[in-house]
Amino acid sequence: MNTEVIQESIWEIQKVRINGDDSIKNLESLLSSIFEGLNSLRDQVEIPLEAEPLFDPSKISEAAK
Amino acid sequence: MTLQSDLAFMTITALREDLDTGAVSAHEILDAALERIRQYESYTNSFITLVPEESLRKEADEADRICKLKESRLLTGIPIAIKDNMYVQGIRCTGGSRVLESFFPETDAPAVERLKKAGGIILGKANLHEFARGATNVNPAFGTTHNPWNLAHISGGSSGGSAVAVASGYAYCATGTDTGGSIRCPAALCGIVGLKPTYDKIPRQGVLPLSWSLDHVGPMTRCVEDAKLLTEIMSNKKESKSDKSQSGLNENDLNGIRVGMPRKIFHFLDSKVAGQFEKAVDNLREMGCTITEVSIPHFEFVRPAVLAITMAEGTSVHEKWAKEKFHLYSRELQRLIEIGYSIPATHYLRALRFRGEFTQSMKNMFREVDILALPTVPTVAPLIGKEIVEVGGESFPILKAMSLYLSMFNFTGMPALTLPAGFVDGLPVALELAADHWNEGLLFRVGKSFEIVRKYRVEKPPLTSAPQGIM
Repeated sequence: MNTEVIQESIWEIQKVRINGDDSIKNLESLLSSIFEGLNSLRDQVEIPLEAEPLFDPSKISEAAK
Repeated sequence: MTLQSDLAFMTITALREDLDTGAVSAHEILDAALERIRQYESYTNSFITLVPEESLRKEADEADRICKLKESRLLTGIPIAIKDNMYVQGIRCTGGSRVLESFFPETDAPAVERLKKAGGIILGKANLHEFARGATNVNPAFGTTHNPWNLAHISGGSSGGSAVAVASGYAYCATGTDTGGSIRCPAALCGIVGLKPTYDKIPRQGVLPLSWSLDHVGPMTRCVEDAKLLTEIMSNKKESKSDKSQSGLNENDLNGIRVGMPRKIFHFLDSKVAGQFEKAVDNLREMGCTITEVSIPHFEFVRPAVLAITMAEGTSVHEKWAKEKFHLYSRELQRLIEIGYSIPATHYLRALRFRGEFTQSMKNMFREVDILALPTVPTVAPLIGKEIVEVGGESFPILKAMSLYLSMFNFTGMPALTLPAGFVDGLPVALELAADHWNEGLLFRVGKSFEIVRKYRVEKPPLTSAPQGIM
C-alpha cells in the first residue's frame, strides 16, 4: 500500500476545502508542516522499535527525579 | 503617600508587607485596579467577564478585616485575573468562544480554588484566543485584545487578556495556560513575567483542554518573586531554593551555573531583538554564569510533531460540540477542527514516539548545562491583522513565528520562564530560560538575579489617551 498516496489524498481534499477560504491564510503551510515534517522524521530519524508513544512527559521526568 | 496609579503597578510581594502593616488597605488596592479598568479597559479589551463591583467590595471588606486581625494569607486582598478557560464557580466560562457563551461551572478548577484559599480576589475572566488555539488574541466572539504598549499591535496569545490585565495595572497577577507558548508569548509581548512549569506541576483539572498531553497551567506576574509565589500556591508545593543539579550553591551565587545557547536554531530572529538578547546574555555572564554553545538535535521535527498532536487531540476535544454547534465556532476554529480529522493515527503516534526520544535527548543535554537561554519570541509584537511575519527576507506564518522557541518545552514538559529584557521601538522584548523537569527553583533563582542585575522595575505602558482608528 502506498501510504504517500493516502496522505496526498487527504492533503488534496483539505486544500480543496480551504481553497478561497481566507479564514486561515496559512492553512496550506500548516498542513505541509505536519505531513512533510513527519514524513521526513520517519525517513531521517531512527526511532527504536521499543520506543513507545509518550503521552505524559512527567513520566520520563519522574524516572529521573 | 502612594499615588493610585503607582499602587496599581506594585508587585504582590511589595503589597503584602504594606497590607500587613496597614500602610495600604485592600479597598485602596481594589480602587486602584478598578480606576485603571474604568480608564483603559475599553481600549485594551482584556476581560470577557468582570465580577460586579459590589461583590469585589465585599471581598475587599473581608480582606481588610482579616489583615486587621493579623490573619492574612499569601494573597489576601490581591486582585487576580483568571484566563477564561479555567473554571471559577458561578462565573461564566466561555473559552473565548460562542460555543460556551452560557456555561457557568459549578466548581472551581483546583488551581483557582488554591488561589482563592490563599485570599486572592477574583477580578474577572480574561480574554483569550478562541479555545486557546492561536497566538494573536484576535477573537471574533469577544473582540481583539490590544497590546497596552501600542494598541495597534497584538497582545500575543492565547493568554493575551491575562498578560494585558497584568501589564495595564488592572490585575496584580493572572493565570494562563500554555500548550505551545500561550503563557510565554503574550507575557513577552506585553513586558511581564510568565512561567510554563513542568507538565502537571499545576493541576489541569477544571481547565478547558486544548491538547491534553501538551497543556500546562502557569502564572503571569510582574516579577519573578510573584511568579514563584503563585507557582507555589497553585501547585501546593514550596519551591526548594537549591535543587538536585545545583546542590551546594548559595542562592545568590550564580557562579558556575552553565547556560546553554542553541544559537544554530536562531536563524529567524529580528536583528534589534537579537541585540537585546545579546545584552541579556551579557547580563547572565556578569552574574557569574558560563555560556556554552549547544545544539538541539532534530529541532526541525518538533514543530510538525507538536502540530500533529495538537490537531489530533484538539479535534478530539471538540468532537461533540463540533457535531452540535459547528456554526458557533469561528471560521478559523472550524478549519482547525477539520484538519484534526485528517491527521492519520500513525502520524499522531509517530509524533508521540519521537517525543520520548527528543525529551530524552534534551535531558541528556541538561547534564551538560543547567539552563538554556533563548529569545522568547523572535520579533516584537506584530501589528494586528498581520498574518505573516518577515525577518531578514524570510517569512513565517504568525503562529509559527510566535511559538518558534516555545513549543519544544511543551513537547518535553520542561519548565520555561520568560522575563522582560528591554524594548525595541517601544515594544517589549523578552528572555526565555528553560531547565530540566522540576527545576523551576533554579529558573526563579537565575530570573531573580537577572532582575537585580538589570535594575528591573515594573514599567507602565503608555495608555494615556484614546487610540485612533482601531476601536
